[in-house]
Parts: sequence; C-alpha cells; structure tokens
Amino acid sequence: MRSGLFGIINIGASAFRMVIAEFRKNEVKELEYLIKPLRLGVDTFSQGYISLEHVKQATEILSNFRRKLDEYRIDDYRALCTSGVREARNKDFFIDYVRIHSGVELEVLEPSEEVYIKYVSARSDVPRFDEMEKQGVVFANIASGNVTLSITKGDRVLYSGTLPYGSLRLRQMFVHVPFLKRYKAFDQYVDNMVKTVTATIDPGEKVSCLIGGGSSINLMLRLFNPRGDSISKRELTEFYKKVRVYSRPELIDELKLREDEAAVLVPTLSTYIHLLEFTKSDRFYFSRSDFPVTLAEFYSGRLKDPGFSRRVKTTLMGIAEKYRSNIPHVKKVVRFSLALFTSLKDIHSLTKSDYRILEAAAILHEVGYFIDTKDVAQNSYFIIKSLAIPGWKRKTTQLVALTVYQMGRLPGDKDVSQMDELTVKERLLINKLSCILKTANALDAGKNELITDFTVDIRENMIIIDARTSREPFVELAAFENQKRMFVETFGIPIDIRARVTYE
Amino acid sequence: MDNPNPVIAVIDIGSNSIRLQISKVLDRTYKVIDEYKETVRIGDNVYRTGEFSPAAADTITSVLSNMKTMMDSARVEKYRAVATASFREASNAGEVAGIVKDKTGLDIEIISGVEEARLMYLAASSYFQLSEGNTLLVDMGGGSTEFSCAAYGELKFSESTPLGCSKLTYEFFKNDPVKAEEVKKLKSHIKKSTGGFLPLYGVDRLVCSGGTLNNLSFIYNKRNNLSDSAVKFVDSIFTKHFINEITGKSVAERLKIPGLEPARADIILSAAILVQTLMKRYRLEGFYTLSGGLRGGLTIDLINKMGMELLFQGGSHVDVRYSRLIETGKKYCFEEGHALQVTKLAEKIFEDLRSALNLSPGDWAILEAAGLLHDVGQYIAYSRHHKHSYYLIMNTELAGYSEREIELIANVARYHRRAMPKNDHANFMRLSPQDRELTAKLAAILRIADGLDRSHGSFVKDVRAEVKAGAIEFSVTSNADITMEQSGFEKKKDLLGALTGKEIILI
Repeated sequence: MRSGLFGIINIGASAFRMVIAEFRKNEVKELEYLIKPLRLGVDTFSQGYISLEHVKQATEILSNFRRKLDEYRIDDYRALCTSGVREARNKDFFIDYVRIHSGVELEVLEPSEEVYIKYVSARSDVPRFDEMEKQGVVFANIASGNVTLSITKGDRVLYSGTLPYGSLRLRQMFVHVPFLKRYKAFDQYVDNMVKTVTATIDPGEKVSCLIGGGSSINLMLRLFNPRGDSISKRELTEFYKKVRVYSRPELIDELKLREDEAAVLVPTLSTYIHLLEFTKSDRFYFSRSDFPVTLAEFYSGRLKDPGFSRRVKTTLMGIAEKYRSNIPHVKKVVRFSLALFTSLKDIHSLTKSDYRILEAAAILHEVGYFIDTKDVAQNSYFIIKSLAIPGWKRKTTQLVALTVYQMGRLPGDKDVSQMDELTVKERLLINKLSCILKTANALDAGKNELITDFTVDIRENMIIIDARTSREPFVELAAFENQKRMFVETFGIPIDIRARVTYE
Repeated sequence: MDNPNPVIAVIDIGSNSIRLQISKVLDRTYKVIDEYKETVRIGDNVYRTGEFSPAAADTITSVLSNMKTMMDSARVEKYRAVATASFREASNAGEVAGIVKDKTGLDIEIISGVEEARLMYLAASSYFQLSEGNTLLVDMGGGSTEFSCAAYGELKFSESTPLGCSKLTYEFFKNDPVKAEEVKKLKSHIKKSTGGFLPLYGVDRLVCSGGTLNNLSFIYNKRNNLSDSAVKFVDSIFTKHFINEITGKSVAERLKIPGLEPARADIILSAAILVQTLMKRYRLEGFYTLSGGLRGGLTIDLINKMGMELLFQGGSHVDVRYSRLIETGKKYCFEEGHALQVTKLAEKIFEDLRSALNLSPGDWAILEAAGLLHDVGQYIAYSRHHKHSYYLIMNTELAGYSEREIELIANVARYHRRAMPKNDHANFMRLSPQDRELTAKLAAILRIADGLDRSHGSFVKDVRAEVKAGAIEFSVTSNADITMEQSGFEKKKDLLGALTGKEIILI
C-alpha cells in the first residue's frame, strides 16, 4: 500500500483523464480530477495511426497534466494508454514524442490487465456481485475503443477478452453508412461479437446476469436516471427504437448530449441490448466506477482481489479441459510438482510467486497435445503464450509458457526465440521450474496414477524420492531415469527414486 | 453406447514394436489423445526358432499390462488389440495370448495378412483420394509384408507375403557389411516372390507403411529439412542413393546416420531394397509413407463397427482432402456456415479473376483450404486470430497436402485480415518469390470473400467480378440488408487494389 500523493493519467480513445489522489492508510482520497476530450481513437480506428496533429494536441494536454503534477510535487504517477494508443501503428513514435516534449512517461496497459482491473473494480463496486457470479455474470465494459468482456461463473472465468467493438470504433467503421440505416450495421456487427464470444464458451454453460461499466455508463445514467442499480431491457429497447434513426444534430438537440456522446450513443445502446439478449436477462446492473479512479485504487493496493489465486487456478483447469488434457493426470502432476517445490525449497530458493508459476505450468503442461502429438512442447508454448488470463502480466504468461516448453522439449529442439529475451535470473527460474515439473511428470509418466504418493529424502550428496506405488511403475521409472541428468545439471545434486509397491 | 464421444483404444503388436493409440470419437471424426510405443523386437526369436522365448512372452505381458493401465486411466470404452506376423508364425502364440489374457484381461486377436491389408487400405483412404488412379499399398512389417491394390477406389486384391524386413534380413544378409551378391539375391527373390500377383504395370501411386519404411522417410525429411508429418513423400533417387550408401557400411557404421533408429539399423536395407524394386517396376518418381497405418485403420474400423461412419467415408465421390479440412475445422470449432460461405464466394471471385491475376486452376486447392480454415485461430483467441490460424494450419496434420501447399494455405489464411503481406514478415519471407506472389493474390481474394460475409449471415447469394480498364467491379446478389458486407468489402479490398493497381469497386 502506497501512501502520499499519487497521480494517474489515463489516455483513452475519446479523452484524457487525470486523477490526483492522496493515499492514506486504507483510503484513497481524490483531490483533483481533470478531463480533456481528444478523440485519438478516431485516427486509430479509421486509419490505423495517430495523426501528427493529434500527437501534438496530446502532447500539449499531457504537458499541462505534467505541470499540474509538478504543482502537487508529484513524481509518483502512472500514465496509462488504452486502445486508442495501443492499437496505433505509430504508438512507439507517439510515446517517444510525448516523453521528449512533455516529460510524461507513457505506459501501454495490456488488454488482459485492463479487463482485470475493470472486473475487480466492478466486483467491489456492484452490490451482490458474488451472488450474481454464482449464476454466471457477463461484465461488459463498453468504452470508446473496445468492449472488454469478462464472463465468470462461480470461480471460473469462462471468457475474458478485449474486443474491437467499442462505440467510437463502431461509429468510425460505419461512418459512411447513411444514418437512417446505420443502426442496422451496428446491430449486425455487435451480433457478430456475441456470436464470436458464444462460440468460445461451452454451450452447456449458462450465464444470466449482465453488469455494465466503462465510460458509457455516465451517459446511460444521465439518460435513464435509474432509481436503483439497474436499467431494464424494456426501457433500453424502447429508447433505442426511438433514437436509432436520429441524426447526430437531433441527438445533440433533443437529448442534450455533447458531440462526443452523440457519436457513441446508438452503438452503445445496441451493444447493451445484444448482451442482454445473450444473457436472457431483463435488466442490466451497472458499476459506477470511473476508470482513472479505479486505476488509482488498484495501483495503491486498496482494490483487493482475495479470490484471485483460486479463480486463476479454476480458469486454468478450464483451459486444460478445453484442450482435452488428461485431467486426472494433470491433477496428479500439479500435486506432485507443488509437493516437490515445497520439499526442495532449501535447494531451489524460489519464491511464492514462482510457486504459482509452477502450478500454472503443471495445469497447462500438456495442452499442446490438442494440436498434434508431435511438437507438443512448442504447441503448448504457443497456446499458453496466447492466453489472456485476467490479472496476469505478459511476463507471467511468458514464464509459464517457457516453463512448459522447457519441460517438454526434446534434445535437438530449437529454443523458442523468447528464451533469448530473458535475464539470467529468469532463465535460471525457468530451468528450475521446468526441472521440477519434468520430475513430477515422470512420476506419472504412464498417466496411470500408479504412484500414489512420495516423500523426499534430502541427503548430503543425493536426493531420494521414496515413492509409494500400487504396482511396479515401469514407465515412470524409465521417464525418471531420463530426467536425472537434467536435475543434477539444474540443482547440482543427483536425484534417484525408490519405488515401494504397497498392497492394500 | 450412450456416450457420444467415447474413448477407444487400439493396440498393434508387431514384430518390432508394440504400440497403443487412444482416441476420442468426436462428431464423425476422431482425435488421438495419447500414444505409447515400446520397441520390443519380439519377432527376432520367432523368425529364428519358430516360437516366442520366455523373455519375449514376459516383455509382451509387461508392456500390455502397462498399456491396460493407461487405457483404464483414459477410461477406454472399447478396444481392439491385434497381433500380426510374429504371432501368426510363433508356434506358442496361443499360449502367450492366454497368459496376456490372464494377467491383463486383454484379448489379443491374431489377424491374417489379408485383414492387415484391409486395415491399411482403410487408413490410406483417410489420407489419399484412392478413387483416383491405381494405388499399390505396401505394409511392411518385420515378419511379413502385405500388398493390396486399390483401383479407382475399389480394393482389388490383398496378398500377404513373408517379405518382412527382419525376416529378409535374417534370410539374405549373413555378412556385415552386406555383400553386393547378397543384395542381388534379395532383389531377385523379391521380384520372384511378387511377380505372381502384382500387376506388371499401371500403378500410379505407391503408399507404404511400417516402422522401418517410415524411418527411411524420416531420414529423407531430415536431410531435406522437411518437417515431420504422418504422410511423407520420398523420391526414388534418394532411395537408390541411400541403398548404395548403406550397403557398404556395417551395422555399427550405419548407427551414425542422422535419424536412423538404432533398432532398425540392420533391417532398413532390406526395406529400402523392396520399395526401390517396386518403384523401378512401375517407373515411379517416389513413394509415400503413412505412419500409424495399421493403428489408423484399426481405429477407423473400430469406429465403423460402433455404427459410425467418418467424414471422409461414404463412397468414391467423397473428396478426402475436403472432408479432412472440414474435420480440421470442426476440431477447432470453426463456424462452419461462415467458412463455407467465404469459400463459396472465394471460388466465384477466383474464377472471375483467374486470368487477370494469372492464376492456374490448381491454385484453387490452396484457396479452398485457406477459405475453410481461415478462422480456426479463433479457437486459441479472437485477438490476432489470423496469426493463430497460421500456426494451427502449419502444425496440424493436413492430409493430402504437400509441405509447400500447407505453408501456402497457412499464409493465405494468415493474411485474410489485418496487415497485408510484407517483406519483414518472417512467415512470408520463408516462401519462394513465386509463392509469395501466389499468397498475395489468393489472400487478396480471400479478404474480399471474408468481407462479403462480414455479418456471418451468408447474406450474399452470388458475386461477380469484372475486370475493366482502371477498375475491378464487383457486383453481388442478395435479398437481405448487406450494410455490413458492403463495409467489410471496403475494408478488405486493400490488397487486391495494391496488387492490381486498379480501383476496386462494389457496384
């Protein structure tokens, strides 16, 4: 938990926002909130890059933000860009230009981190979230650039992703379509988004609640002025039918909207209605969390997610099932890996976060079989590095993927290129974790669950695995023999196994 | 059987190895979920003494016992364990099978050479369009070799011969290194033994299976930096040179050959000679190897016996390659309606632009496969799914396509959206300059076809493309609202415009 003054800048697709906050004990007190509209997304979503004119305007806004930070004598700040910058081809130039001319160091928020922060914020903000999650909940954060969807049920994340269906993006995409039928294009496109997401979820999994969030919510609240914490589908649909054929000036005049709000209203309504149809619910609940404030709370440590580890684990098990892993074997390898990790702690000197990486790698260690039974290590690596687990940083994903790759690679297999990007410390970590994983996997190599348990006897010059087995484990012993050399090369001490057949 | 996706297993007890393959039956297809192999050489003693030694019997029981545990762990509902030549020839085969039954509960079925050939035919029919031309199928084991001939999709004959590579090695190669005289005698024996039943001419394709011939094709692929796959092509020039290369080498010297399995160092020569004799007889440029032939055939047969027919089955009119593409799409849960619609539109555009883009009719096969599989990457993740499609196509067995064709299909699918092909794209630069040009042209068509089904609603019934002086004009037939498709067209016409320098218009 930080304490003192802190600044958060969010460079969104439609506006730049800054929060100056004070962290004290368990509180985040908002001191000042600035918002400057600048629709970077108009460039990014229509031409793929940010125009020089907008680069300069952005720099000017950020120079002003920098001055404000200086007034408060704040050095501790984070300036985070979302899709408007993240997806621009010239994002590196943009970040460098802003750094040189304003002194503000920009960071690009990874989509998986963005969706996770928004999800955690909604969890803490929306009453009865846990209850709704038991029935299955879609949390949709509809922003200008993207729709971030997090679909959870119980402890399990069924889907999590950032989809290019933000309201400003839709608007730009169909700007050439006459406004009288533009809503049809929005409807078709959003319907396509729902189909895409539905296709990735097991048809048997039903979700029945919708929670909305994001920059669109303020607009919804102003238009619908709900008494409680939800807006009904009926209200939404009636309103949509009325306004979907309005021109932008009509929206501005009749509904008293700002120019930027009028641009995104119809696609936003279309998105909510389609999501309501997907969940078959009659209303959607909303999170009033403001993203920059959420960011401040998250990075200050106030926003907590006590169920994180459990949720990640169940989500990863779901992924292992999706790729048709042998689940009893997976569970055994997880148990054996973690037991080895704990028993060998004096030898490996790894940390608790490394333990979590090992656990994840053990759960996912054979997903690559789904693609083909050859090049399994590479296939698993490919699948894992493409995952977007909410709350995982890209580095975590990379370490898990490389641990699995290193564990399964065969002599002569080439190193995947990402190995070169690791520091020496990270490479050592991968070697240690993959060696533990390989040892655990050897103990159930035949996937027979023959070895029921083991103890680890650490002697001065040797480690002995004392395994209890229901039958002589030929396959396991052969696999164990094959990885002994790797173990001594990794930990500097030989390892051997003693299998004792136990009879019931 | 109530379970719509039962897990099944097949065990192939050969002379050199015992192999287990566990599969999950899916919607008119199946997916191998586990494989296990033990190289045992149980036939060696049989071909010397006529029976299994006690040690061989122990090995068989122990390996099968492990396999049974793996099957139980995978919750196998049905299995078939078959034994081939070594069991057929061993005088104590029944006794060994009885011991196995007692100790493991597994029933071993000793199948005839003709049944082996039929199973091999089944396996080959899932990879090759056997309805085209005459195909000679050769399944070479350690103790016997089964020959069968398929003429235009019909199995004409099957013959089991005692021409297994281990058996031939013991009978003809007494010296190490082998003498030229011994090679000559073997060639003459093969010609004599096969002359009575093999056709004199008219074989268009030679498809071989068996571990030793597969090892030969593995060596070929390794030397030519080709990736490993279930179906491999080996040219006859290589085989001829390989025979010359190893004839003068002792078995110990052969062990240094990269890719050669040590357990096959002695028997690979007789296998290579047999296949070379056949290629010479039919003046073939090479032969195909099919790995897992017997296991594949057994699995298909077992599924058929459960009352299910696989996608590629259903008569000679079924296009095997197409069926396997659909199977691959289903494996990755593709949206079949969209994939078929995009492929249909791509075909029409391909025909209209073929001459303007200087494409050959054969290029359609690449575009067709890319059209069907362009979105499979969505199974991994929506984001960057075009790149995931590239990876999956490159790494999934696509039956009936050469390595070059698979790489082309993967690249065309990769460029169905987002960036156009660029010289700093590693996947693109791996292609020859001619194939890069072909990729760009086919991807240009695929992008437009995909754009014209932007809503995934199959709203466009027909499309025509007409090349004019400064433009290519597209017209579509539809009775639905195609706002999305029009927008998709505008977004995806970029590559065709860049390639042709013409304006691309939807009228």
